[in-house]
Amino acid sequence: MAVQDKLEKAGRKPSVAHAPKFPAIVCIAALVLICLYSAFSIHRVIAANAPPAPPRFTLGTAYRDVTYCNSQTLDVYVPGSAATGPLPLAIFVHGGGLTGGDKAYLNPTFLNALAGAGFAVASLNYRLAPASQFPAQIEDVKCAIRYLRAHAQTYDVSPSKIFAFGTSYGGMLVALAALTGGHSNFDVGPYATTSSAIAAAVDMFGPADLPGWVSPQDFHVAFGGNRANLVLASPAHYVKANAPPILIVQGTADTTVPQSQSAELYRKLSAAGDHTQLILVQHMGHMFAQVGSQPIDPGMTRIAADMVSWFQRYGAESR
Amino acid sequence: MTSSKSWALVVAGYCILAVAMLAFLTINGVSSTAAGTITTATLIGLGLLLPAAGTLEMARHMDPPHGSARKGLLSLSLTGLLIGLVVSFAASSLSGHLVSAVFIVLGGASGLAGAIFIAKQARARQLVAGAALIAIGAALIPASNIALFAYLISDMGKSIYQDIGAALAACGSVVAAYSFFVLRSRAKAPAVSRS
Repeated sequence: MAVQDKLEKAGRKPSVAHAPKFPAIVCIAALVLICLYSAFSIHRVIAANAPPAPPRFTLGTAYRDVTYCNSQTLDVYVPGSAATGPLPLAIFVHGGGLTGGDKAYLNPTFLNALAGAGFAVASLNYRLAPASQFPAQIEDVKCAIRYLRAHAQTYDVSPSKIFAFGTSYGGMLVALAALTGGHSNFDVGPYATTSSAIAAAVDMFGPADLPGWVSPQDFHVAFGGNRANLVLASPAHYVKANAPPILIVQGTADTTVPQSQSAELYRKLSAAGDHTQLILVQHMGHMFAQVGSQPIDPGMTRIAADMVSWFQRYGAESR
Repeated sequence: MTSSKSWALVVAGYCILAVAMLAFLTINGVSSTAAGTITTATLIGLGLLLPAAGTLEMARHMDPPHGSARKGLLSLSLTGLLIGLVVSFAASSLSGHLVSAVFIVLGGASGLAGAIFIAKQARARQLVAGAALIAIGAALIPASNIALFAYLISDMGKSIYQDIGAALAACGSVVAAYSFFVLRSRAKAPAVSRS
């Protein structure tokens, strides 16, 4: 009898005084405010995870939500009058930990730079974990390449000038697509006789050597807790001579995918004698985030121009 | 420590815990600065340690021997919740989240038991509601992590369930602070005849 004991010790009878009204009002007000703030916070989480609107495209025709393999969809942006076909094609692969992301994550700066230089651009969705674990993602990326090559005439693109670029895990997927060649164990599903090779790739801060880097959560959710999958998903594992040229873009302040990942891939590609270049972007964290007060250097426009130059430089070498 | 300070510690601690849960709501599911994370962790630590210390002090000085067990249960509960939440934030594996869940379930259950004992004796039913809300809210945090590992929910789903858990725990903290405030007011109030 906690309270009664205390009161009896003090020589009083237990009080039947009701709760003071003022704190009760404060308590109710606090509960209402907590409910309102939690509703706001949950709405913010939902909004932050919703895919953005697809980029506006004013330089030509946009074919949206084209269905390709495994009921996945892609968008194709074909520039208009300024370019004469067949056009080179750059395929964008989004990031998102293999569990999220959307083809709408295509950065308008990259889209406009490529389209302005006469490239058609495709941005694709792929199956996501945990419903579909690795290697479903690379299988879809390779199937998208085969689909676009098989339908090159539909979009007036050149089947011999197909490039790819990706961010984060998307960077890893394009590097894998480049390094595993036109016909690999990842080439399953439709258009099996068509090559999934690409002429060159731009890997933006993608992980390259997963066994020493991947988080336990990603390991279980995206790779099924299978260490063999980590090796199979590591671009560094496939480096060989005569691989397609790979441009690597890496933020020096990236704590999600550290610089050492990109440096390792660059070191292995260089050692194998492959065409490669590593652009270290100062003050840049993951996904082009500015870290600190200084803007990222080089900026987005410069990175986009470097990517276009990279594709143009190696566009003549059809594979 | 005087009994007055013990009451104040408990009420202030639960208020801080409510603020800590709102801070957790603010940083959960979005990229947060290191300062935000450290502030939230500090608030959660204070919000659980202060009422734990306060209830323990009450148990030792105010109503021995029976009350010791009751308020000691509350103190034990808050310490269990603190360990559970710390483990949950630090854990990156399924086993870590399971350990966290064990601490939080045990802490929540002992808190609820302590609150029921006190409520029966001192007519403070709000305290049971507060303890239940805190226990359920805190349990949702490791539960959503485990559900993510079991592929039952998405990353966004995990964030939403954790936000709901934090909101419930914040509401529970406010109710618990209020109930201790009322208990303190009753203890101070002059005697009134019931006849």
